[in-house]
Parts: sequence; C-alpha cells; structure tokens
Amino acid sequence: MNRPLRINATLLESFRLYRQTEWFDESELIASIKGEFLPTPAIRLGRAYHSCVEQPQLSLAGFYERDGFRFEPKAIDEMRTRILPGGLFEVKTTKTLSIEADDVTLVCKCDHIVGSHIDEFKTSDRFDADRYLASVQWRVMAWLFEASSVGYHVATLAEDDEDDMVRLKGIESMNVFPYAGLEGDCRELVHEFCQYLHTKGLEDYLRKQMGVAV
Amino acid sequence: MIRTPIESFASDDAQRQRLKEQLEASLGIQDRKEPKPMSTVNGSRLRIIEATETIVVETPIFLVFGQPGLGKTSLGFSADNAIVLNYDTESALARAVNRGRSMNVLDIEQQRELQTHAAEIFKPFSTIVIDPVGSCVNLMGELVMDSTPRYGKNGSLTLQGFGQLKADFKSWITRLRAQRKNILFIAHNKEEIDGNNKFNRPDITGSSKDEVMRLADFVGFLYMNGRQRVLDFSPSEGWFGKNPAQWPAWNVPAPEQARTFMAQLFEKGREALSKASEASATVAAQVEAWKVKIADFTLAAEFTEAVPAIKQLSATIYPQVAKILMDKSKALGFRYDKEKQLFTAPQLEQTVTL
Repeated sequence: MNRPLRINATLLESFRLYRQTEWFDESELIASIKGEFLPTPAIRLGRAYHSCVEQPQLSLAGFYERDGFRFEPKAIDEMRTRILPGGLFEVKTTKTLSIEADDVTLVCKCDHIVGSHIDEFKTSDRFDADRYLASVQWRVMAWLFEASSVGYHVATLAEDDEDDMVRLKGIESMNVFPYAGLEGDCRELVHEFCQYLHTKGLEDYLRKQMGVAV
Repeated sequence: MIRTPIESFASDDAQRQRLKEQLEASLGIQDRKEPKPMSTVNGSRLRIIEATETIVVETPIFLVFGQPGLGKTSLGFSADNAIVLNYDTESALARAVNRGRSMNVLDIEQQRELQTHAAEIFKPFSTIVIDPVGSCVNLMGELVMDSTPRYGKNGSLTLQGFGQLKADFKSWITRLRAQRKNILFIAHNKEEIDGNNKFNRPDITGSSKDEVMRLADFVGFLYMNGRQRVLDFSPSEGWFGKNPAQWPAWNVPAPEQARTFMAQLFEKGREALSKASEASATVAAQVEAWKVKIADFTLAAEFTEAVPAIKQLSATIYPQVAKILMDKSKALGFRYDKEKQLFTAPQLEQTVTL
C-alpha cells in the first residue's frame, strides 16, 4: 500500500500561487515538490530574521546576527513586543484526509501559538494586505489548529549597504479569521493539487518517511 | 470525551482540588469575575496582558464595501449613535434613507478643521462612519499637496507625496481609534476582471487600502443577489472578507426596515471577538496547566503514561502539549518509539572492571 502523500501548507500555497497568479512559474512549483528548491536571498533573510525572533541573542557588538545577516536590535525587539507571552514557537500539526484512493497527510507549522491565536512573522520590503488575505497558508493553519485567529506581523526591512546592517522600516500587523467555508476551500485546493500531482507523475516525491511525533 | 489535565492526573477528589488550587494560583485565575492586573508597569495605567486573560473588544472596526447605489450610506446611519462623515457629494447624502446626523467633509479646509477638532466633534457619538473612505484618502492627498506643494506634480502626488499621505492617513486613523468609538469604513468597490474572473476590492488609493484592510476586524462585501441585498463577511473567490464571528451571509432588509442593522452587527461582532478571546484564554490556561505538570516529569514512564491523555486533547491543545512533552523528553535525553508509543531513557554505560 502506498505511503500517504505528505503535503505541507507552504507547498499548497505555492500551488495556489501557480494557479492564481501569472508571476509564479511552474518550474518553481515543481522544484518545490521535488525538494530541489534553492532558497532565494529574500527567503534566507526571512529565515534568519525568524530565527532571531525565536531566539534573540545579541552579539557582543550589540546587534543580532544569524546566517550572515546582521539585524539592528530594533528590528527584532519590536517584533518581540507583538507576541503575547507564554506561547510556543514552531508548533507543528497534521491532519489525514482521504482524497480518492489516497491518504493525504496535510502538515503545517505555525511560527508561534498562544491559546488559540497563531502568529506568523514575515519579512518584506513593503506590506501588501492582499498578499496575506489571499494566502492559503493561514487557512490551512486555522483549520488544522482550529485557531480563533491568525496574526500576520510583517517586518518591512531594508539592507543598509554602509554597515551591512538590516534595518527596520516598520512592522504592520493584521489579523485574519476562520470563516464558515474555510474547510471546504482547503479541501478543494488539496484535491486539485492531488490531481495535479497525479497528472504530472509527481506523487512519489511527496511520499516520504514521516517524522517522529507523539 | 476530552479530559482536562487535572482529571487525567488526579487520583482522587482531594488531589484534584489541591492540583486545581495550585494551578489556579500559578495562573492567577482564582477570581475570574474581577481580573486583577497581572503585571503593572511602574504602578501606571499600563498593564501587561497575560495570554490566559480574556481581552474584551469594546470598539470593533468594520469595513463595508460594494457597488454604488446599494444603500451603503443608509447602512452607516443604522449604526449606534452614529455620525456619518460624508466625503462623497451633498447629493449622495441627500439620497440616503433614514438620514441621521452627519457632517460634510468635502474640501481641504473642512478636513483640516476636522482633524484639528476631532476629539471635540466626536465626543457625543458612539460610532464614526467614514463614507466613502476612498474619497477621504483622496481629500487627504489634496491636503498633502496644499500643505507641501513639492509633494505634488501636475495635480498628482509624487512618490514622496504618497509616502506622506500614507503617514498622514495612518496618523488620522490612529487618532480616530484613540477616541474609543466604533468605526465603520464605507467604500465603493473596484471590480477587476481577469479573464472570466471578477474580483472586487474596496476602492481606496494605494497603501491606505492596506491600512484599512489591516485594521478592520470585519470586512463585508455588499451586493445584490437577484433583488435581495446581501452583506457577506466571508472571503470568497470574488472578494476578500474578514468574518471572525463566522456569520452566514446576511440578507439586508430595505433601508426603512434596517434602522438598527449596523448597530446590531457591531453588538454581535463585539460579542464574537470577546468570546473568541475568552476561548483562547481558556486554551492558554489548559496548555499552561500541562506545562506545569510536564515540568515535573523526570522518568520515561511518566512521559509514556501521559501520551494517551494528550492524544485525546483538542486539535488546538494537542500539538502544543505534544511539543512541550517532546521538548522536555529531548532535554532529558529520552527517545520516543512512535510505533510502541513508548519513551525510553538512555542506557547508562556500564563500568567494566579489569
């Protein structure tokens, strides 16, 4: 019997972008499915930023440094003030669905959760509300975690060439909420993605060994 | 049936009560009726809000957008003790049914005066209606060019001018929010056609749209379904929405029968947001209780015994408690066998005597 297809929320968002926007290339989607995707500098910056928000450790010189990126203290400290105390970082959850003959394990990991409120930290050069409102990522998270709300906190950053420091322009926070048809919308997209994987013969890339969890 | 951590671990009523008291003491939830400040900052009115506290949302922010002529302004007048700031035309206001108190803000001097005397003007009202918010932004753009002519070129804002408009609009909305009033943004819609698909967005210039979408707790699209006016807060393929109350689409009665429509929605919205906050605080308290319990685990058997109870927790609590358990077990060097659902302690090296 086939192992279940393991689909994460980020991959599902890539599929949505491929379907709904003109700028997201199919080769990029296929590379993500095959696990061959090379992170762009913007993605590497985002990961470094996220890592500092989760574990803020100042360097002796008084700034935050991670994976070759240097952040002015304000960039991290201000984001930390947006998080309610007492929550947990990087919490993962899964849900198994039956899509035609296949079992599908839908996986998502939230940046931070406290109670039933999820926080996601993003980096960008500007805040674009539509980009986050359209995303399937929060929909999957709200569904799988049965969250009451998901807060996007978007740090707009600029790299200062003079001292090679990443500086904060501002942080915009926006909450989004589950709605009555949310589960149906997510299921429909998962179904379409499975059909796409089948048509393109890409299913085996997503039938990997499960990680260990309670 | 889902059991609380206390029910899972207490062996008798006395132990259950003791655990309950300990947990409540550690969480500061002995008296739910009068929540006391958990942490104050230098004795001031500033207070740190704990995750386990309920946040009561007193003044929600609504955005209602839709085609012209559907009675959006009349809906504005149906809010509780509202003042409608009319940024449209005088005739638009004249067309409104059930007209209540309003104020024309149609030129930059009126906008300037409004910004100067906002607190005084809004004091007697409970709801501030900005109608339409797109025209308010445009007028503020004119004000930017009037105040700083270099921010305009050929009657349009320069890039710097747009930056200033964004800052000014943000500051204006912040001042409105500081009045602690209900806020209702009304906007016309802008239909974008992409192939066979139509998408509706509020017609608001530039990044001010992002600001309104960001701030609004509820975003609803007003449209005609046959001869019926419908206000839908759920997002769809045709528009973005925000629906924290998970309302179905509302049929909006004729204006003369909808004199309290928005007042009722604000009330229901306030209740829904507060209820969601209360539910979240309850979850946070339960996770915290598990955290306290797991912190005392030292033996692999204690971890293994906790697994069945954790597996019964809700979809919200389970992943959080599972992470706490796994993190703690890893810190102690335990290994987890998923098949057997068993934690094992590392084998100590045996001392070999020659």
